[in-house]
Amino acid sequence: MSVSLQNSLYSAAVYTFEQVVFLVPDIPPDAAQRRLPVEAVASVAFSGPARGTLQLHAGDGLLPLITANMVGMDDPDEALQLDALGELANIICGQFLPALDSVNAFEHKPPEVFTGEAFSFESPAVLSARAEIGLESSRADVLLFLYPDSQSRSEP
Amino acid sequence: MSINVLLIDDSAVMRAMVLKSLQMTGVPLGAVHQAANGVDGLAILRQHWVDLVMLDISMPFLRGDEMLEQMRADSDLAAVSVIVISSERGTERVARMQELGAVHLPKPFTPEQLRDVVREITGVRT
Repeated sequence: MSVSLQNSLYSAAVYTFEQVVFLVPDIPPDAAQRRLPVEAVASVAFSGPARGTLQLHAGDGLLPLITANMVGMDDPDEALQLDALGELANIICGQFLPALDSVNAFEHKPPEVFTGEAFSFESPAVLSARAEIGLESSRADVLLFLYPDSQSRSEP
Repeated sequence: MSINVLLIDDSAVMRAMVLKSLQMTGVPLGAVHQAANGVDGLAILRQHWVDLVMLDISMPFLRGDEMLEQMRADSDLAAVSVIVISSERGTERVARMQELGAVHLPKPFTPEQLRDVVREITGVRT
């Protein structure tokens, strides 16, 4: 994994959590946060000067927390919680992509959100950066997958 | 003077966030309408007086850029102010929407940034 991509992914994720969810991330997550199972995953595919997927994995307990902070509502329903995770992934992706190419534009597809065992990811894309973040009593992992043909162009 | 606003985004969370940010700007709001896609958005525009449209790009049925094209081709809707709210940056779609007179506000944004754009595009003062 490239250190500069890793740093850019952390920057995009931290900025988004601070600005959109009003949470100050803990980096790295502590042992208790790391042990939490993943509750849902939001995935955003992108293309352009590089091609790949950005995934946001939400640890147990994160969805109601981020949704309440984003919309200012107690006890948001499940549909709203999954919508919130997808939007966060979308925003992190948009914030991160200029790190891959700051001149040419990327297109990204609408986020797809999966819960629990419904998520599986089989792709020739390669895990190229990962940001692990603690958020209050939960955690979020942001994973960047790049297709091999675009990875070489994006590496500094 | 208050302004009537139409929020168009397929994400209910984004519509709620934009509305919350709008309320924090201090801009005097009149009626606030919401739609989840461009088709429903156009229908609302043809039924209600709207001063400002806040428009997502990627949506089902009718995308934001397609909706804006239709607005600009309709003499009743051509002059409505439009802010495009999207995490896309620098794409051809965004450029085309700017050519059609929309102002692009990338996500994430602060209420202060939203206030400045609303002031710029509507002339309303808080």
